[in-house]
Amino acid sequence: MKNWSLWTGLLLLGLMLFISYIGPHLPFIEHTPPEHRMRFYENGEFGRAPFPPSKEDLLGTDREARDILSLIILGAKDTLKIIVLITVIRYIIAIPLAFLASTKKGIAYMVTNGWHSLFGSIPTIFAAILLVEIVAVDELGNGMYWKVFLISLIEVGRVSYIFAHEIYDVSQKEFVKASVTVGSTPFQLSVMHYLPTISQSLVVNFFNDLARVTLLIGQLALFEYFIEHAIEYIPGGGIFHEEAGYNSKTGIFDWPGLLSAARYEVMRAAWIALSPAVALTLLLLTFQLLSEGFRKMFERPVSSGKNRVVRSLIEQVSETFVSSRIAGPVTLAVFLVIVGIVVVSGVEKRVTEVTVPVEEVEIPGFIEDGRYERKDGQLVPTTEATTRKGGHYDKLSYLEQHMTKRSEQEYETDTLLFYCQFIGDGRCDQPKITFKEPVSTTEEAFGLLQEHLPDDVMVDEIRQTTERSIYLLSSKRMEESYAMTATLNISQIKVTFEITPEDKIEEATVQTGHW
Amino acid sequence: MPKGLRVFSGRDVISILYFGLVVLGIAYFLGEGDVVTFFSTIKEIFPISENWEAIRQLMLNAWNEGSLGTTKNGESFEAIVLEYFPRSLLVIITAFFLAVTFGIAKGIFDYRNRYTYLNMLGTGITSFLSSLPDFFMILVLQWFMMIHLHFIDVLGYEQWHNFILPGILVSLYPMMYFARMTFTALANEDGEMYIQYARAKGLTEKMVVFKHIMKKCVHTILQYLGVVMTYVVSNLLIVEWLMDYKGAAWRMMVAIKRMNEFPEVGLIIEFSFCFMVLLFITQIVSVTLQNKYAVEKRNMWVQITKVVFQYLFIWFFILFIMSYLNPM
Repeated sequence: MKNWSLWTGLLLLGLMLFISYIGPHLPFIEHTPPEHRMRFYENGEFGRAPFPPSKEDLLGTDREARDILSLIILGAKDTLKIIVLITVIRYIIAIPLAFLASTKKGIAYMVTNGWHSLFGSIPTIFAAILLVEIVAVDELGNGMYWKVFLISLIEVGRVSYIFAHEIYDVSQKEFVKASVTVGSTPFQLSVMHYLPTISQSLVVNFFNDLARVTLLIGQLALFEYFIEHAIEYIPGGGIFHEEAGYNSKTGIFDWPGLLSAARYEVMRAAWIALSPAVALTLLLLTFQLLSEGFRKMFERPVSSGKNRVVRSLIEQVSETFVSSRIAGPVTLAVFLVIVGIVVVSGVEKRVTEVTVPVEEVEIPGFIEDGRYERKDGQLVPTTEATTRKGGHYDKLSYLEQHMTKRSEQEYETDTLLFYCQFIGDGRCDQPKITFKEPVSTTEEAFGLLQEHLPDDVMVDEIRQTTERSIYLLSSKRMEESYAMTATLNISQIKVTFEITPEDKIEEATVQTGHW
Repeated sequence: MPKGLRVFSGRDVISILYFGLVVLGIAYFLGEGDVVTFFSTIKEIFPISENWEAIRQLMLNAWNEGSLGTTKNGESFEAIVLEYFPRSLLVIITAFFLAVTFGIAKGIFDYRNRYTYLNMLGTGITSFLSSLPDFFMILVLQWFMMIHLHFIDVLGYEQWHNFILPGILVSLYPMMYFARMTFTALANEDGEMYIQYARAKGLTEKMVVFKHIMKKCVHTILQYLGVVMTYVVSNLLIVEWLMDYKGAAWRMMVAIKRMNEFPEVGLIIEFSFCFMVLLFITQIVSVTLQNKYAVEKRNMWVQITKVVFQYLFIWFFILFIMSYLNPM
């Protein structure tokens, strides 16, 4: 067990393959998202998603109460598939190019060199973002493959550059020159000498590149660029069931998709962000350990002798295997077969079930005091508005009664212009307010807003900077009226006044939550 | 040809044929079996004429008004750059400084302890940390600090000391990279005659490492300064984005993200130009320093011109891509 990195790597790879192929059939996997985001316990307590890790859900749940462990296991195959596909395409294009460029002159070498110095000098993540951004892939039917090609093309130059130099080094060796004198053609040389020599470093570098691709798609996900599943984030803290929060169009998340929540969730529900990050890190470590392990295996043909018969036999076999010429090609061939199987079987798309069994959830009596009613098995708050003149989280019809309607999202009073950033359930969520006449102090501005905030609102804290002042408010009425159906922090309201360079206030935004 | 030994006449022809094949293959695959579809899609996505028009317009703007445009609030892009870039520059300089100094120190430590029990602390930790993805490290550290170290003001950019924490986070990965490169350069010298000679003279190990091996390796190590800067910039993007540190990288990403609402192509171009200049300066410094420590001095200006042309080429490529950044 001297080459522990190879063994650990193989073990982890086995685990990853197990998760992606057998994992989805395990009994504890939830294939359909749960209907409700609330859970009621026996002792009369209840809770809202996201739930932290517990015995019930080992890794916790996300905001839609989906079990994260299930999501990770279901997404494993897609994640692996994309990474392998990108790397394979990269190598298929780069290796012949490397052979063509191996004389260090001519067009092929110029292209390789230029490509390498171009993308080698700017951060890969930046190049990837720019390329994905300019190709309007989402409008195309096969946008996923466009992205795969774009990302694999970025580093073709680097791979080809490395191998061109390696082949060049080999071509300077004595045995190659001897082979040339007996009249081998370049093709024969490539097959007889170059391929066996570089096949070892090909395997090592391939795994290294798998790791690089894993890193890159993880980074891309943080900036909300996804390869396969179009995932939408609708800001607003997830107030409405259907609308805000993370949603995948196919209902499946691959790991990068899950990771993309990190930016918003790491402060509030760390487990949502950390589990996919750990999963991706493990995958990356797997590839790196394998790369390191193969390098050691090819480098170290002699191993220490132990007197156990079986062991020495195995060692002898592996020694002859490693020191013989066929070691590289055989590993390469085995490896290509595995890759082929992964790619081919991965291409079949999974069909997601559409019909979701509707479960009736017992609602404790204390909720049924008139503040909520049930519609289609879902709780709906009956409260129309909490403000005097219409404001945050009020019904649009209520806003219309007290203000002049300009459009579906815009309302007007004598002093203010209301713009509802999001509309869900017929409610105006998180409005943006523009003062018709710029106001000079925040107190005055807050006074103007008072009628459009819940009437029992309390000021918890005021934060002041040169560019904005932030009022952190809380309201009991909001809590009582909406807490069952909306997000955790519905009672907390944050009002941000933007201060212009002229020390005037023109704009204010109302948001949910205090972060 | 005397150097290449075997001359493959027509290798270039084969290369061109190969490129054609690759393009056709991609076209066949992305056009879903129809090459023509692919090329018409490409034409749609990249309208050449509009592209030239966009570049011309930008140039005209810059020439006539001395500015590439204004934001929604009427601030000129240049003012925005002047406001945001210094914040990032502080982080970059901190990170680069930390990465280089501590990277070399860590590399030397790893080298000197490579056969002792401290090896686990040395190369072990270096390779472990450099194989962890940067986003993972940042997320974990951020989470850890939020929970256990409340007193550190993680989010924010108003106070003067706010740049330190992002600076440290940004520097971690490049630091480990630099340490690995230093270690490799030092280890490559193992067993050389001049080292044995120095030891035979009875010099202390410290003297041997610092005065003899290091002096020879500095040249090699300096080659990696450019790469370190590339890593710093790419980590900066991630750190600023994750921590909401309102610096240049953050502002640039915001501009890219809301391309469809109000395009700020000029702003993106100006920010990337600033970053390119940073990378360029590092590369020039690296070349100059390499020349200073080189055993056989070569003509420095040839190398500098090479770097200048390389970066001009890169800059035009970026400009070319950015001219396609149009609101959909």
